[in-house]
Amino acid sequence: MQDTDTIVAVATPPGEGGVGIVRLSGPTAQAVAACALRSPAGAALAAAWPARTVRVGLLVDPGADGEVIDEVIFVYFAAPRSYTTEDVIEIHCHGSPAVLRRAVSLLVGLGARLAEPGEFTRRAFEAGRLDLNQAEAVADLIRARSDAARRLAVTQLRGGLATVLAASRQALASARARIEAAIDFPDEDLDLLDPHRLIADLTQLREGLAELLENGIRARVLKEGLTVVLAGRPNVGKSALLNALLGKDRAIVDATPGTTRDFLAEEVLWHGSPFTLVDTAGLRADAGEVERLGMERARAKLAEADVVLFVLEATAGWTPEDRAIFAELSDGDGGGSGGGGAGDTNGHSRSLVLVWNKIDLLDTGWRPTRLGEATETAAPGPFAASGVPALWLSATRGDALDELRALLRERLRERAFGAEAHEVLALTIRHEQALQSCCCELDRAVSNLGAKQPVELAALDLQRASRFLGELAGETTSDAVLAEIFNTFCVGK
Amino acid sequence: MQADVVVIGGGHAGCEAALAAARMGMRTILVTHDRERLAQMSCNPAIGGPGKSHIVREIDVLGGMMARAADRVALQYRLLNRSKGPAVWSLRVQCPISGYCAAARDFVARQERLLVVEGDAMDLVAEGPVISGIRLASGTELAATAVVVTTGTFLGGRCFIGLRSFSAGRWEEPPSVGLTAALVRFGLQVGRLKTGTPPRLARQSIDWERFAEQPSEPEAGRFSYFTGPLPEHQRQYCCHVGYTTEHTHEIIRAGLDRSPLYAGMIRGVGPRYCPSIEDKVVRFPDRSRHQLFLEPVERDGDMIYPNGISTSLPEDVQLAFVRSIPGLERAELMRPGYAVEYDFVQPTQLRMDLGTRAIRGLYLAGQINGTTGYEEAAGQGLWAGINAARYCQGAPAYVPDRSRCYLAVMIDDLVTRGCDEPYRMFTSRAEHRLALRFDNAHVRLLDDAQHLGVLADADRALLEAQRERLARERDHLGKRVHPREAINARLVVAGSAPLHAASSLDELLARPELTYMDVRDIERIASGVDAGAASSGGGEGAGGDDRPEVSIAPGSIGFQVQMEVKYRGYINRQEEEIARFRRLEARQIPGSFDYGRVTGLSIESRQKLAAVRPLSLGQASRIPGVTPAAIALLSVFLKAQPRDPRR
Ligand SMILES: Nc1nc2c(ncn2[C@@H]2O[C@H](COP(=O)(O)OP(=O)(O)OP(=O)(O)O)[C@@H](O)[C@H]2O)c(=O)[nH]1
Ligand SMILES: [Mg+2]
Repeated sequence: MQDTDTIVAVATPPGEGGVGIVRLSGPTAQAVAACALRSPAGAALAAAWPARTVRVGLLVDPGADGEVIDEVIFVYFAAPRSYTTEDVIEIHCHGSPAVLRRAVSLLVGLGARLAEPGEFTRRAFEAGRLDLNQAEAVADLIRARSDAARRLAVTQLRGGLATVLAASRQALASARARIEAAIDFPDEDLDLLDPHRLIADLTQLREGLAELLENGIRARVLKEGLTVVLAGRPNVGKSALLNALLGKDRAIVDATPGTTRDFLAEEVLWHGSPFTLVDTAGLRADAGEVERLGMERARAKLAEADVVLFVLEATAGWTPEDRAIFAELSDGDGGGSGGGGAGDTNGHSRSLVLVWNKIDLLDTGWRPTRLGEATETAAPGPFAASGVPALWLSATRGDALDELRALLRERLRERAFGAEAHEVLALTIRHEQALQSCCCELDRAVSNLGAKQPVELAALDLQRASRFLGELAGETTSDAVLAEIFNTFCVGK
Repeated sequence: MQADVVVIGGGHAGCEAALAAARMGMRTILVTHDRERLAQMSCNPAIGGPGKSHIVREIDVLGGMMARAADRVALQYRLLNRSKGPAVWSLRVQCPISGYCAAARDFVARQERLLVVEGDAMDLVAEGPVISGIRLASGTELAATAVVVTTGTFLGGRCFIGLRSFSAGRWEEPPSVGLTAALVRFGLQVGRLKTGTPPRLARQSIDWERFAEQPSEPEAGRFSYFTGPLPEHQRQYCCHVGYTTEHTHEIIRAGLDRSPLYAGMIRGVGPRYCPSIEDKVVRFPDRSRHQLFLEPVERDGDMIYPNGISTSLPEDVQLAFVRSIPGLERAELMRPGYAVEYDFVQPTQLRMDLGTRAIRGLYLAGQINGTTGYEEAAGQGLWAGINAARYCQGAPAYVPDRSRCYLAVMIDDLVTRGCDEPYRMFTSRAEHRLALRFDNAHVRLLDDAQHLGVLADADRALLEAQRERLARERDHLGKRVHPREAINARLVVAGSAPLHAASSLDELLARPELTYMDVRDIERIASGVDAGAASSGGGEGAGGDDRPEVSIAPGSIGFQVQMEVKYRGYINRQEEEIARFRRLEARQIPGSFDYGRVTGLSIESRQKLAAVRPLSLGQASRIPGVTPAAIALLSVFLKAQPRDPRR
């Protein structure tokens, strides 16, 4: 029910159509759009926009050195003479799903919020833009939204979403009931709070949801490609590798560490398969303010990655800094116990590839292919046996680049595997977010229980988890927990 | 006789209502059958428990008597949920029934402007849609601006023991019969609920050796903010724990054909969380035993309350099953258990201030609204008493939202969702549980109490001082300490990592392994070193005298800051949830809103909305059966309404 924020979404039906429209609506719509739109010559637009006039321009990513995402047509509808009666900008892009997704996430990054399904219509309706006689029709439309979502779940995921969710919600209600009953009925001689059982149940629940998420992501990857993020210490050659893979000088390469300040994303097609390659700022501990901002954005990109290329210097070997970065990369969740602040919301697994760069400078023949071998002197411990694949190459001389491309295509096939066979359709971004948030809350709960934190903390995690699950299913569950307590336990001193 | 506020019923709700109204300056009359039996504990002799104890603390801050009266006579204190986190710790106090009554009589007698009238309220008098007074069975009429009805289980009360039934409000007390008719005449819909109570046992007939002792925990702290430490002479008592056997269950099963419940004589719905022993045996046939607690009813009295075996089986079956319990082989029943069925008013017919929508100036509170429990009743009584007074004063109603207190959670649940079984408070009903703690009721509600004028000056000053000390101690923990050998040695002793850089005390306290005691100790060491370095020390330094004692006893300042620091991450998360919640609450719906104008609403949604008349979109979204589509539609029409600038 917020109505002061600016929302954004793709307004045309999903598909491979020729043109896709991205619609922005809200008080800051123009300001947000102005950050991302340029004249055809690449110049900033004049402050006064003519309303209801079709204009040609470029959609650029100001965060990526003004990289051009698409040539677009856009129209500005000034409030109140627009669909929603708010300021509205419509941006007509070339309809590839990847471009549209990129455009939406760019605008979200610039301050818009992803619209709820039907939110534009609702705003129009709320503003009295639609005739009151249409009220019934709109109510139907809003209702149909969740029915359609349900139908979609049933047919598209072959009952998977509906059944998995029903079972998951039941499992979650049962876990919550055990904790809540233990809190509200402390006198009972019930052994409700067996943390091992709770953890096992929650872990199983989480696995089910993670699988659902995986399937959805697979389908998306099949349609939209794989996101590959290059990460590592400064100066290891990430930008050089990006250029080498693209076959063009896209990123600035320089011998000064800290050259890349912000991420840079580029799409390529290899054998017909789409990839988005993302170069990021080098990660290091003692960075200046601007560099730190770049690192923050790099970390945000890492959260979206399907594959991370962890770039290392063959000449330097496995340094303590590498080890710290590796720990960060292999630790999916930032942990969420007692003090828990902002957690990593990355629910899906990303795969990691070690890339030892600059082998042209290496004079020995030492080329271990597994992390375990590479690190036998420098990094003992848990990473040794992790079996992360490693490649040895030279970005500047071009050794083994084809091997890397082949490996990435292999990853794409793995990720998308089964998508065709099961006719799974991609989850919407909203579904993905809700699932990821839910998994994240479940992780917190498990870690809180494992760390013997007070149970009411895990109870809050699970309360939030069930809210996300409820959002996914289009309903909420508040009373289900008490009902579950009374049905399952004999309580009442 | 003429009064501002007349309260009918002298139970927990009635006493708090009358006291609150009188405290707020209203000339108040309390009408009850028997002036000696005020605030009678008609079932279990205890106050508090999870959720309930939170209500009691809130009553305390809002000037009510329950916490003080309980402290004055307490036989036993227990801190429940000790194995869980402090956010859900709760207190329970065993009380002697006659002692509690006497305390209540004392509070009522001392209250200025409050008059007790013995009598049987027969009828309510209204002029059109506005209340004007009540009529007693004697024929006397009492004129009043506002009337609060708190008749508990007395409305149409009917007791059941086996297949025998008789009309009564409580054991050996007559029911109220006329009032239901008056409420129905005003258009209020009345339903039936049921509750039950166990038989009472004679103390000397019990083989005490066979039961496990549960001693008092005087260190648990007191209920009220205003009562000092437990006096030496207030002797503490034990409760005792025992178990039923398979044999007990067989006897119960064999007697079911003579149970009024299973024979279908009782229509009212009983509470699922407080089932009779016959319900437990039927619904959970796999359990080989059920727990019971023996609780003293009086200080050194003869009567024992066996908690956990409430029943309405015939007396012979009661005696037989009681005697099958190890330790109760020779037990004598002083009186049988029974079920009581009574009228209640579906609370969706009330506004958030507990006033009826049908008649202005008429308020309902307590079990009549479908709740169980003394605490729930007392809380509503206080709320209705405050609002009846506000009504007389022409002031706006006092209705804080769910994120502020358990009282609001309860009343919002009642008026929004209604009851289909007796309503009891649980901490799980409070979605913002981590913020609504037992220890911070004064932080949450002191400003309200002040604004309403319900606290005596001295009490207000005491809470204000406490709140300030808490705030000061929070500031104090911002102080930084530097890595020194003595400090690091102390840290290592506590199993904590030594410091490498300066750190605030606050950051140290956030470490899971350190307590407030450790941190105070480290601070002492640090200030000793600093004082030495400065070569002329003021000892503890500025403000040192004013520091709270080094303690993490429940309720102490140390306990509260430690709690706040350790759970800060989670409390912040909770605050986020509250902010999200308040956005919807801020979208107010005018009382006069015509749902008939909203053309797209389904008939069901429209009826539910029109019946409940929610104050905000948030409340509307909690009404069962009102769909998200209806909420979306509703928000259209609210657009035309100006926002409430207060939020
Ligand atoms: N000899 C050799 N030099 C390389 C190779 N790859 C990169 N370099 C050099 O290493 C330096 C750093 O390369 P960049 O690509 O800018 O490194 P980066 O990882 O992007 O660094 P930051 O942007 O600072 O994080 C440049 O001088 C490159 O020319 C390689 O394979 N062989
Ligand atoms: Mg670079």
